[in-house]
Amino acid sequence: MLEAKFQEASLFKRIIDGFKDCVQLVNFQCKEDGIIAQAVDDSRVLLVSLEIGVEAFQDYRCDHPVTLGMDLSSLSKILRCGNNTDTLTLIADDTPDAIILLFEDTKKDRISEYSLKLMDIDADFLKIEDLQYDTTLMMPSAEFSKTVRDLSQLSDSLNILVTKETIKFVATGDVGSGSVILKPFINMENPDESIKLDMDQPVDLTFGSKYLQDIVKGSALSNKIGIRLSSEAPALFQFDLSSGFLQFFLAPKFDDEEA
Amino acid sequence: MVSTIPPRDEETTVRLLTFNVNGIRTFFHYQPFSTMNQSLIKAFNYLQADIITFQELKIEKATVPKWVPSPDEFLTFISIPVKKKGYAGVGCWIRKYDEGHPLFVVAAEEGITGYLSLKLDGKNSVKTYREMDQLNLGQTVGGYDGIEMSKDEALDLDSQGRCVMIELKCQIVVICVYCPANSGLSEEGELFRMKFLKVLFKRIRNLYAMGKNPILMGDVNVCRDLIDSAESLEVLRIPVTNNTDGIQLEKNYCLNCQEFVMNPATPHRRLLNQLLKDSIVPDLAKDGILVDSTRWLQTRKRVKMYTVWNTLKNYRPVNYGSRVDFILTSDKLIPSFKESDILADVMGSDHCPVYLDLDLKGIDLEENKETVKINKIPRFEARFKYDLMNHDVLKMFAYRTKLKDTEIKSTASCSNQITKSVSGTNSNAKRSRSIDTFFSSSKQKKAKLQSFAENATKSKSSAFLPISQSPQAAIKGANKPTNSIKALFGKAPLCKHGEDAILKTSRTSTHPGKRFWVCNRPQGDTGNTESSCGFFQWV
Repeated sequence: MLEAKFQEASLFKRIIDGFKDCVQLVNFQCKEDGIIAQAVDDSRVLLVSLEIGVEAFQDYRCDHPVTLGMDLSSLSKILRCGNNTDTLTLIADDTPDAIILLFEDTKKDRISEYSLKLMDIDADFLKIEDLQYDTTLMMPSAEFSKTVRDLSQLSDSLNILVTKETIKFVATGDVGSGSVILKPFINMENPDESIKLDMDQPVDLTFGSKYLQDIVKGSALSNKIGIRLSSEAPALFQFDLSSGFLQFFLAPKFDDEEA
Repeated sequence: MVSTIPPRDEETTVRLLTFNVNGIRTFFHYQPFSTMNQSLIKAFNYLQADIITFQELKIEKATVPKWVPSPDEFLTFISIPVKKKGYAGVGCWIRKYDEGHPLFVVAAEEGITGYLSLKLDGKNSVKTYREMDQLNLGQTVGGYDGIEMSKDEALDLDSQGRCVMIELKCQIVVICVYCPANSGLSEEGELFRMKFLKVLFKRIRNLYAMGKNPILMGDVNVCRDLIDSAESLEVLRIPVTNNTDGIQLEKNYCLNCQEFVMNPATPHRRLLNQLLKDSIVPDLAKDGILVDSTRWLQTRKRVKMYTVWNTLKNYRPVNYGSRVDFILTSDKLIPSFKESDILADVMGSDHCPVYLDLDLKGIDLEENKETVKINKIPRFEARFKYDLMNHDVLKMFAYRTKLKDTEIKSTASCSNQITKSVSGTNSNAKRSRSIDTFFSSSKQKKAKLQSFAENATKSKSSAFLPISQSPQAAIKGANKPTNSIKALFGKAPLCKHGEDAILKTSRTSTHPGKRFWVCNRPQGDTGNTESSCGFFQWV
């Protein structure tokens, strides 16, 4: 039996909205210590990894591990039916063919219940190991979002260059080019506004704008984004939850010559 | 109704399949494709096809990536309209073959005029196919002689995403087209249609004259014979049932059949027949170079072999339609014909697919040694054309796992870089790590190196903690000195003997103070199983 209650339905909605546009069919693995999910986009360039820890829920109970295969576009339709301030409880039995989503408006005693049919999704679960990165940075997610959205207008690919003191985003397109340069700084009053940079080796990587635009949809989850880059590993973009995270692993682009 | 796909011998034949999908997304809504999770590879494997051409993709640039399957399985060539978004569009997918295979792709082009351009290696190098052909860059199919028109006119003709041409090593040129239909019956539309067909057919003749084997496959939007149009038969009040013998019918209504082709009101039909060696009009057939493979194998006996039906009027169940989707091949390929038919019960579009199986042995033709062809994927391939050159994220993870495996086997002489990657991957920490730990962990790592450098043997520092532990835990660890060093490093890994390895400290100049696990047994002769197995692993 799974009973997972979010204090606010909006949290789960924001989580799902954060990655529903890049992957469609996702297996959610519910265990004693929370819910995890993983999916790769159709073009196999972006891997999404989600972990919702028990502390992120108001109540959480999962007696037996259970896998819930869901179509995110259907799931988000149902999530739109609840009000943001409703509580949301996910309910499934041990061998479920459907999941129940229960929205409760505590003030008005309004209860709405939806059931979503589950699917058998044939997907491997990759054990993501800790990778070694050349560069780690953290910045306000809104800042990153704006940078990606602005520069994506100019080009299908976005170049990220990190040197000792600067983080540079460059887009070169047919109509023109643009760049945004950021420098690390500490905001004492509001630490989330800070930009932190920890560089072992300079990096110069290019990513598809389309994928970065998918990634910044996770910005609603957290004020800050953590980015880890390496010339050999997929780049990691992470948004933290109060317990758990939403991670995007993005494979960089390669040059013509390598093909 | 779920269709049955005729089987074929994959060893000896190649299957060409063309399908006007009328929106590549919609056909995935129909059985059996609806269970395929929009995977083209699954659909192609289901159809058992190797060379696939789709028309009316109705996609725009932003959604192209979705229809580019893994390059390990198929090469993708897609042309979409310059202006009209989500209109027309054609795609050709060719199974990935080795360089030596007769079906290996050697050149690819978009459009019929050669005036479209392509970005080459450098971002700033944009050239038209004609320019590339002159420079002999080995990207082009060629055969532009006698197709003279202004560049603007040509670009207009090629602006609607209606044609891709792929040349294979065996000199077959697969031409995927979606010819204009002039459904509005306007004079302007008819002019455009005629111009398109004239240029296309001239190009095919040129390629044929160059010794290549063109295969025109797609929605030509022209009915070639009277028996291919239910409506025309009805107008002439010629009765047709499933049992009608087409040969007999054409004998009885010989004049009607000839008129159908030669009618001045339908110049496009005459034009198409001029290209066909098996045209019903002998005068046209004598200059023909292509053969309608499906008709050839099904013979003129077969009637009601339609590939498109008016779905608004629900004509499909009663099979009242016409045949405008063809696989027309160079007459030199006739000896290789095995099977060809329409797949009338494949749903998902107002058209149905048409396939042709060719005998591979027959088409293993001599390679043309005159033209320069580079053994690289042509730049028109979708990943280059649409700037989709992304690494495969799963492969990148797989690569790292491999890296780790080799590391465990290798010895102390391994390069610094690999060691670094492993110190990260080997930690058995819980994966749940917030962004903040990104920084603390790397700081710990630095501190660790530093403290090792200062005093290689001292062990009570928090820096010895596995780097991936959360900072809170690190602080706790520092406050409570732990009893044993070993406890700090976790359980010893097993060596190849299956015994616990022992912990040692490096004294080399490259890794001073760094700890590692080695086999507990003494060094001995290589091959002696009782001596050290050579197991080595950094902590």
